[in-house]
Amino acid sequence: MSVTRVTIGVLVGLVAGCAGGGPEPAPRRAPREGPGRPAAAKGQQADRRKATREPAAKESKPARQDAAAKGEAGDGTPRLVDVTGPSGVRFRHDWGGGKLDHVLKTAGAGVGLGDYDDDGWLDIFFPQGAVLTPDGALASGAQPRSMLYRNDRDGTFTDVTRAAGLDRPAYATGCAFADHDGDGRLDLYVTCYGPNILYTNRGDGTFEDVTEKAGVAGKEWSTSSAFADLENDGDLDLYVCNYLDFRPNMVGVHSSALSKREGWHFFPGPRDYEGVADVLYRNDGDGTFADISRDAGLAPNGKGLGVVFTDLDADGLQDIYVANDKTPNFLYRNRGGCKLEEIAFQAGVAVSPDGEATAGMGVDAGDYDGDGRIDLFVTNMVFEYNALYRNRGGWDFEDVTQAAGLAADSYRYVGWGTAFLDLDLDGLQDIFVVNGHVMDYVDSMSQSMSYRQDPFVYLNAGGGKFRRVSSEYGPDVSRKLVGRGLAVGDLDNDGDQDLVVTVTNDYPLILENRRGGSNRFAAFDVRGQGGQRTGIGAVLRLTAGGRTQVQEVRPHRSYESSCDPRVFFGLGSAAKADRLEVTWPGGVKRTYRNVPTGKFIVLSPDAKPRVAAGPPR
Amino acid sequence: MRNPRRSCGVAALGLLLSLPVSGAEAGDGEPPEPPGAAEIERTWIHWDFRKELNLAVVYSHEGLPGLSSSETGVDHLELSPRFPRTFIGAEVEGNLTEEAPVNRLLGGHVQLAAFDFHLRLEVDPTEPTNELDRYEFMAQDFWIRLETPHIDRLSLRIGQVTVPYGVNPVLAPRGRFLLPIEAHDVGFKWDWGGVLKGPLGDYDWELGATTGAGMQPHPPHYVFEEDAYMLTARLGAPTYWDFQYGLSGLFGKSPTLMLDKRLGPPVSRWRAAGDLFYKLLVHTMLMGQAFVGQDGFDGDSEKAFGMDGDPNLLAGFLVEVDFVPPFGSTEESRREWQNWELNAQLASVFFDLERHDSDNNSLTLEVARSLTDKLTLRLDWVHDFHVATGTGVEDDAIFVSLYYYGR
Repeated sequence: MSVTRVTIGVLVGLVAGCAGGGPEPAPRRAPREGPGRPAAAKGQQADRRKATREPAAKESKPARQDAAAKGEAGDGTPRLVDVTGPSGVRFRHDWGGGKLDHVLKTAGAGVGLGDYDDDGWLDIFFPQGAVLTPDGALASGAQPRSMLYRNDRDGTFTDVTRAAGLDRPAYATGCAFADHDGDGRLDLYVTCYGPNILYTNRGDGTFEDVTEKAGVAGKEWSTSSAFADLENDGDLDLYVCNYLDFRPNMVGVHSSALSKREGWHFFPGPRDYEGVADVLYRNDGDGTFADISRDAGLAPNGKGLGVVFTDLDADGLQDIYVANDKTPNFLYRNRGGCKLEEIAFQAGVAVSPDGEATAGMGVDAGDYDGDGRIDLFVTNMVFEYNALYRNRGGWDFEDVTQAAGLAADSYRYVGWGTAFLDLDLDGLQDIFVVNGHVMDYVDSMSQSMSYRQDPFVYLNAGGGKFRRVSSEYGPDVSRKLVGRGLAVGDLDNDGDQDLVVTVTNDYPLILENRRGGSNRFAAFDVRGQGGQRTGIGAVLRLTAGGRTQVQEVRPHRSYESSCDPRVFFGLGSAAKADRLEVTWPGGVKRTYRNVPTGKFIVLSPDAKPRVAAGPPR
Repeated sequence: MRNPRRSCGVAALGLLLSLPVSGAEAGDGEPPEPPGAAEIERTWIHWDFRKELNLAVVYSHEGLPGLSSSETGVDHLELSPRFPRTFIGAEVEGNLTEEAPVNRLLGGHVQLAAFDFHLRLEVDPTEPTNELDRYEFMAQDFWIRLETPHIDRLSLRIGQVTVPYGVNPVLAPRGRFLLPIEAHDVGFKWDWGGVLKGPLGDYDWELGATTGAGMQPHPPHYVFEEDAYMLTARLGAPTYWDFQYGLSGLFGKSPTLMLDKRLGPPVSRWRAAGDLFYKLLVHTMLMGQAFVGQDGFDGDSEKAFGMDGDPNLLAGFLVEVDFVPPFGSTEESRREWQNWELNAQLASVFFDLERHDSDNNSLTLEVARSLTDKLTLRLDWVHDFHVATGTGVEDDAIFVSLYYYGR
């Protein structure tokens, strides 16, 4: 039986004492010692960065702060600015060499954001492809590797992959940062074509491969994964999407007449392969997981690409929504006790309105209309539209895509990574969608579609409507890319969420959110019970300016990606949040009043709130 | 060490393909080399080369139209004179980003977004076997596409393009036997010139100015001496909607369609057409087209095929169903059924609405089977019936084609 406690805390005094009131950054936690980060005094570290990162100095934070405050043009205009070059990130996705000649290559990879060294700054992990033999094994010889970039806290990142021990070769597709063992450190689960990998964080800047012991390898083509506490027992369980029964040179599989009609002229499409069932792992709390897919009631026929845990009926249990490709999407209602009921058709979120299974890719959940219920958004293929499902309560969802103004553009785009986020901090959940076609030859066959496609930036206009504003956010976000993964998070700790977009077989795109205007934010680093690094599944209800917003701690969403686990609320012009109520999985509830804006506040069910290291900029 | 860029030396394509290429490099297993500069040079071009082969034969009950009796008699299996004929083809296509050098040269306001150069060497069985005329180059899509970053969905195609008249293909057909009604009426769906396409709300408008010369790459004197031209326009739903509809018009002077499906001397023409397309779920596509128009309205009606000298009104319609069987109780059996594609098309053209015997009608039933990624086998039964006096004979013909399209 869960224990519910209500605590009312007044945060103003606490935070005011830490804020300092000036532009100087608040004290940061000293970096941990380790191979990736040798111990050094702050000044020495700053000197080292200055000496080795001269290009970044040109994009120094104070200078960019000015730009951020004023907007790039100095007129308050918001911008999403490509900072990939200055960031020092040189990861380049490699689909395994050669031409685009099978569906694994075109599926690309995601990206993960997580503070692996617990210094208050988001680091970036990029899953990498590999060269395969015709039967799908890793080819001998050197392989491209996934890469971990440590945030240097000055707008630049340093490759610490080898030092962190994450350079095991694999055809990696996605990732999820989560504290699977409850030791307060973010671990990393990497989904792959082939056995997946679970790395546990040793706390010294290095990771240890514990896949075998944990029993979460699998052997399929896994795509997205997500952690959440399914049965509220205090540890994180794991859902893994599996996609197709695929090998590069699979005998007996070829592009069907139907696939060719849809444009799959040179290699088989997803319709031509069998799907592979997803897997649900129960965390047994001792470092091992048990496959409970069958007992829990997972559906057998799906081609899973995206997954999100969310509490859709506010019963305190994490439900699951899965985006499937060319097969109906899954919606699992959590009945408790690790029992799931698949109700996507009944709920109206399985197929398109005309009854056709769509090509679901990425997925996210969020309360876009401010009614307190979590809605769903799933990206789809061309000739379909990205679907927004409004939660009407009682497990009844309505496809409101057309009315919301989200359908018209997406028919000619292939949507992948997506996220709800409050881009302009006005208190309304906006939507970002990464696009890119699956066929690199589509330009020659279509008058309307292109291989490279620009992302969608939709601002929530209120009243259930969205407005596409990509061009208003500057040229960098209008750039046409073969986008796949998307992770959102505050890379520079300035209170708004930046974006990392992966591009198949190319460099990623890191977009810094240089918001204009003066809207305020409140940000929360919610810790879990019992020392859990992240309180995944916690529900935050924040009231400010007469409006209540609901968000969940839900880092694993989008497409094959892992987002900032912190929760960001846009407050508009409100100077403070009147009330914040946090409900942790298991029912522990805290209520805070007069929550200040402009701070990162650490919330824990077991401790008093405090201002986080890695302050607002 | 991997070189993230690769050079391509197709000299004939000049600047386009002599530029560095990435995105298709072979994997040698080593991590990519960091560019080193502060800015990242992303892949700015993708290109591809494809090969094409079509073997097409016909068995005709009444003999092959266009072939003299000395060359073939009735009841013979021959190479097909109908498009798509027997051919070998090659295609180079690609797409570029705004960072491509050619686009930097263009200054940012106009961008070369894509190109497609698709040529075929076809066998014309109506020509004697010992003549070089038996082999001719044909194109089906040979263009560059320009775009501007300032207006979404605005593009200009220059080269051999799909004319904006009648239904627009969802995806450019490759090796298709069934053609839209303009192929039965005007004689072609592709022409040389330019097409400007842009948005009108959710709809697309298109304006085409082409030579009226059809698919073949004609020498300039053909256009100038024969005074052929074609202006076309279409306003309709975009090709990515499940339900598409459009209105289009054609005005100009273009070659007449002869009995053997070849083109004769140009004649003045106008047409007004409507088209519908509906994708019913994923397995069924329905298409309908209708037009009215006139040939020879500019005092040249004697050139119009099937006319008696007066520029009378003509009309036509086409209906087509494309169906992939959605059968199968298991995933495996469903995939097996999805290798089959069934088509039915009925096309009628009334060359003179004032004459009851001026119509040509054709019913085509097609069964296609995907054999491999690259190979498709098609079997078509064409039933020409109620053929206008003096324009041909009623006939039944069976066409078999084996189509290869691969990299």
